[in-house]
Amino acid sequence: MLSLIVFLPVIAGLIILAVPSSQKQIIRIVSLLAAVVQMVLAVMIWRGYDPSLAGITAMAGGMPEGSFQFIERLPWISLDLGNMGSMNIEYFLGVDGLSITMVILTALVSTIGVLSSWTIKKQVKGYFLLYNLLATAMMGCFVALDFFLFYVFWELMLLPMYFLIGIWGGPNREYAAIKFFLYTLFGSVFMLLVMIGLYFSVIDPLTGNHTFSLVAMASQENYIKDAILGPDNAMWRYVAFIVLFIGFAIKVPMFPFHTWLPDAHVEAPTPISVILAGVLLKLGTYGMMRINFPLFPEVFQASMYVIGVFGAINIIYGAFCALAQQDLKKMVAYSSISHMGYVLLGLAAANSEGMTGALYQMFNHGTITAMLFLLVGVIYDRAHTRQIDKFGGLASYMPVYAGIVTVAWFASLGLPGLSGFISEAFVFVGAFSSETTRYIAMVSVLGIVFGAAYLLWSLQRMFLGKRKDDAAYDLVTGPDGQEQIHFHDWNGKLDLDGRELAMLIPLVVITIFLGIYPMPIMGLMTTTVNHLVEVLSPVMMAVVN
Amino acid sequence: MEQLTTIGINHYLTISAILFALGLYAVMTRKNAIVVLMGVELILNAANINFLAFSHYNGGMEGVMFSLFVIVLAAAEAAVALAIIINIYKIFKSVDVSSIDSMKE
Amino acid sequence: MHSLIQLSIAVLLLPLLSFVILIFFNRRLPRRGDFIGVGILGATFGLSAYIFWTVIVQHYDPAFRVAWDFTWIDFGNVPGVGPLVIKMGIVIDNLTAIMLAMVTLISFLVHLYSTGYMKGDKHYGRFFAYLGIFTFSMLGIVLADNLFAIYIFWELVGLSSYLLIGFFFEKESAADAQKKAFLANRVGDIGMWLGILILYSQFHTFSYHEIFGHLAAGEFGMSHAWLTAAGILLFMGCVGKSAQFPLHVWLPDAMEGPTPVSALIHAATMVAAGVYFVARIFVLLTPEALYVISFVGAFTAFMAATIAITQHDIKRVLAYSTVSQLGYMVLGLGVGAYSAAIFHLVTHAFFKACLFLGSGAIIHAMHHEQDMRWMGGLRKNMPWTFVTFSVATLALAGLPLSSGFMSKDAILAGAIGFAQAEGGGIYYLVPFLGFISALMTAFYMGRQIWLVFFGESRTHLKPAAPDDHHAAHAHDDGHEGEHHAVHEVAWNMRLPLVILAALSIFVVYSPDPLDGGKGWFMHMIQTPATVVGETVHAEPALHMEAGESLAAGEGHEVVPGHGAAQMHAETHTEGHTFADPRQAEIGHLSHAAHNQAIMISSIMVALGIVLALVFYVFRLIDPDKTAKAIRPLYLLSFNKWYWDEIYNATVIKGSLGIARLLSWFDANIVDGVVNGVATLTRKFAFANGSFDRYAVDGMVNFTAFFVNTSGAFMKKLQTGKVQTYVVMVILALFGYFVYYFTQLVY
Repeated sequence: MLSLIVFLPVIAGLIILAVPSSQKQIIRIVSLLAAVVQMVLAVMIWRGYDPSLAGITAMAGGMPEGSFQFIERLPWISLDLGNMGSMNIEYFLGVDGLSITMVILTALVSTIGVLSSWTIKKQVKGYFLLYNLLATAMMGCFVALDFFLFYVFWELMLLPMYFLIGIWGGPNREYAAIKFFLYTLFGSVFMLLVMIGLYFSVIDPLTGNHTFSLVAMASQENYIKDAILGPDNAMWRYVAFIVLFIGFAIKVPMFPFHTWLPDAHVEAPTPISVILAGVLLKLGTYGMMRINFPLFPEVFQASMYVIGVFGAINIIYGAFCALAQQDLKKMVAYSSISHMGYVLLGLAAANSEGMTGALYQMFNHGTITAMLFLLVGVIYDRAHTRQIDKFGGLASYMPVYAGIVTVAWFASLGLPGLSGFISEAFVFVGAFSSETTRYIAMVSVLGIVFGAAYLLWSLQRMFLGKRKDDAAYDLVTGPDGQEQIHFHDWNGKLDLDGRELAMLIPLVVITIFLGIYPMPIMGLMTTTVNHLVEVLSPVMMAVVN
Repeated sequence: MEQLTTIGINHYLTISAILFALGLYAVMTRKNAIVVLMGVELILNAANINFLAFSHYNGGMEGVMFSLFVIVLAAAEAAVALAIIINIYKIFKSVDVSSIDSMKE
Repeated sequence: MHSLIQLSIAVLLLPLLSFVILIFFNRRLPRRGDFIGVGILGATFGLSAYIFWTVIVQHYDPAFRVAWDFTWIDFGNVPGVGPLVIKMGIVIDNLTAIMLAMVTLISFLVHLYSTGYMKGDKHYGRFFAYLGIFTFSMLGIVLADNLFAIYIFWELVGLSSYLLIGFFFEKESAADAQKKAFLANRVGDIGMWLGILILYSQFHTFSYHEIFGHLAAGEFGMSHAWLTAAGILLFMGCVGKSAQFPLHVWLPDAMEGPTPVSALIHAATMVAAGVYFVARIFVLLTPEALYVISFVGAFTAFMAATIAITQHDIKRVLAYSTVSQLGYMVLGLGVGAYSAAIFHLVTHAFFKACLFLGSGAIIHAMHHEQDMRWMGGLRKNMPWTFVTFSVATLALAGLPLSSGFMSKDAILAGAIGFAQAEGGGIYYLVPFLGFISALMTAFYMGRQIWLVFFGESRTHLKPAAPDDHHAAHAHDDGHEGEHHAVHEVAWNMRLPLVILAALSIFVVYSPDPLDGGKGWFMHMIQTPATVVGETVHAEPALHMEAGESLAAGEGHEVVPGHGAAQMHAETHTEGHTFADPRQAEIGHLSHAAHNQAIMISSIMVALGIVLALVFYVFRLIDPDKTAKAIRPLYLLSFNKWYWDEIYNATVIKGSLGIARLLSWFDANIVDGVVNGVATLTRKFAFANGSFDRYAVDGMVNFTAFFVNTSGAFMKKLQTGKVQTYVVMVILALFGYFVYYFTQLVY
């Protein structure tokens, strides 16, 4: 099941390879079909998922069954290294409460992304090949339970992303692509080192061999006491935690490692921005929750405050930077930084409310930001500019667009009744309830105001009032005698067309539904998050030591 | 005298050597490709004579077998070579081997 | 589920239904679906009236309470806390019932009124949709049984007011006003949210009832200062929504919205939500928090009144009077005059709605003229409006026989009692500012009535100004083509005025026009006992009393349906019994101060009216000359104490400045470091590359060079001629033979 959902896009990619590149429509439809089937599979996994199982660590005796679900485990690479023992890399997939939400999100965003890719005109075949490869890598990252496999998928993501930005991007695309690539590679190099260190420090209780299994690594009793990253080697464990954290923080992106994000977003084509903000950023925080924190709980305990501070900086700094932007897409990119700060803050709280809020925020930010980038893409397709000041009064001429923008913007600023609010609210609830992060939470609430400020200001400048004199569009008298809008280079529908509605309406519905009744998603994660909190708590560590 | 009356192996070899030398000379000096081809035929036949001579004096049929092969091959070779020469003529309007040096450099 | 709960759920959801139908289908419905909005609101009001009847009239029990809740979010078995669920629910008590009836009635009347006022507007259907979601949000605040739900609806009210203020979004000023309103509210909301967080972090619940129970049981784990902070922070929500100083600046600007909206949300209901919320959490406010609240209220009442005196725009005068009256309510809560504050909330809602709808009628009839300087003489043309507007004005000014008189005097009596209980001194400032504001209220309302309705029409005096409101509103003016005669408005706009004016008369609330305390209202809404442990004035003996009430507070946890007010159900003729000695003292002193308050305030009101007469009727003093004589004071008032300018220069400019600074920092410093590292790496790579090119590559290149030159020589042997090759073969063969034979020889 999981193998199918992971490799389905690659199969679609192979089919595309066989299709002549002139048959653009077939290529698109094959990709769409693969994405839709992936979505269906994700829903099936969701239906079959038992939310009462904990995940994170194995059951007593080291068996992942009964804790993880949909497990697929095969030996993959076995190398005899002589007196260094043997290298056991497994093909090990499985889901728990952390990954199931991300699997659903990834399937959803990939599908929306394919729809949004309809406007790609250049080298369609190559584009969809890379796109499908990316989809596989993302999905693989979320379900891999073997660190090595995770690393393979993690690195596999870089390649298509590099080309997708570098070939199909905006005017400054090479710079952005290289920046993205180098930044992420920088992080993953350290990850590789830590991974190998962990391998030699952990014993799988079932086989007695060294293992890359994240499940085994999450239980502190599986560590060899005097190994390089064993419990006796506190200093190296700190170092490993920090470099691993930086690796994931780059992906989040956390201040001060965030500057690749605005560039990448501004240059990337719309569907890639959607994927980037919708799924890729979540990998950073997912990695922290899956790998970084449970593997080094005592270091996490010591660094909660720092993580919280960085979360607060992200929230407020991102909001301020967004306030100053002229480019709409850049503003949305900075808003992503701000919103991922809430995730960091929730994680730093290290209690159930905060962590649930953080995980839920990851899901909601995925859907909401996808919506924001799609909406930016809609107006960019028409007006060929994203300068906020080049619009004005759009609400009169594109009412449906303006309506959906209003929903998306308000969802982003955390209006109750829309999903973003609940996650932000519980992040604050958690952060305030934890004595470590209480004062950080008190500062971070300012983000609510500034978040509202930049979103409402941009809303006003683009949609309210009247057309500005130097606007990127003209007003003409339409056939019915009413004044209507005219874009210079656009022959399509003035307001949203069917395809655009097909991408946006599901997201709007999800945003509203999950804002009113969050349990369908939140219910999946609570048991796992509670267990994670337990694993991370000082009490638990005292038991182990 | 006996050497002159009975034809021994030396005679065969001498004939063959002369034929070979003539053939080699034709191959090395003639400009006409067909003549070069004829030279090659001479060389082949010189070899045939050698084969048969040794076969006759040593007993056994291996030499005969080889010379039969050589004849067959010579025929095939002549056919192919003539076809090549015709094509060369079509392209270069000449069968002068010294002018066919487009492989150079 | 209790039948009242079922009804209240219907009451809550019906306006939402109206919103959903109208937002999607208004263009496809006849009359843009306004009948759906009005009809649904009529039904909602009918249900609310039934609830009101059942709760207030049938039960007539000050401790009436019905509650219902359901699990909204289930966190499972949380480590360190145990099973944790977040519940949503509804609570109905007397306050809820009264608020429900008030909100739905005013909303219904505004819907009805809007069918006349908004007629012909481009987005006519959408307007009713927005009114629907506003009503829904407001009812949510009223019905919610927990802080989380109230926060949700609180923000939704903010959203509705955002949508309604910016209804004419093509006007830049409206777009500015809506943004300002939302942001000012958000500032208040973060305070409120922090207050909620303080309480949640201790008790892991959002429910009022449970929080009060825990507090009463003394389980608050943090210091007393945190509890005070929680109270003040929660009050910040009220400061935002009820437009108290220092966040009052959005309310006058909100008058950019259509006038029915001003009546509905910026006078009668939304702004009342703040006061309602403080009343809900009243029991957890510590005395220190109450001081802050009373001073903020008093200052707001005074400041807004001074501003209202000099405004020319008919709606702005009313807007500042709203701020001022909200100040009274907050002051009332702060001094502990709980019932009086809520009483004033209700009476104010009716007479202020009447005033706004009346001003809307005037504006409508005057073809969107809002400046009072160019009105006058409307008494004859608009008799219905004149009478109803005057009744409401009397109530606002606080003249006897009106509802406003009773409620305002109850508050002022409470303020005097408070000052006496606190031992005078600085605390007398609170009643003092209250009385001064009463004087000014009477003055500016007298001025307004005179300028608008009496004298001769001054329409012709108006200079042709470019920023004429007429032009801006031209698109929604149905009477564009007609001549500028002023007519009385149609019945659908008149009927709401009459109903609201009728509700501004004393008999509705109390049989005694001088004492609201004798009426049903003050009986049904009684000050609940505080759940805060220590009080400043508590003496050792009284501590025990407080302790007993705490025990009782714990007890009522067990029996749902028994409100916090249960134990204070008994009233004696002279007032209430209080578990808290401080409240008891204030209560007794307030009661004693009742007659005193009536006297002072009557004198003040009379003085105010006399002043208005002197200035505007008899013209004994020329207002313009007075304004010149005290020019700095006049300018301070006319420019609204310069708050907008101050905020613009500090908060807004500051935020944008920081934003630009950080953005620059991001683009140049943070990214500069990144790019610098990249450049350094490239420099290093370049040096490395040079070594590579000249040393390592040199070897490689030399090999290539050697092969190349030797090849150039050798290739000359390749003539391309077959015969040359044959010769070479022969020569080579020959050479081999020579070698072979020489080997043989030696």
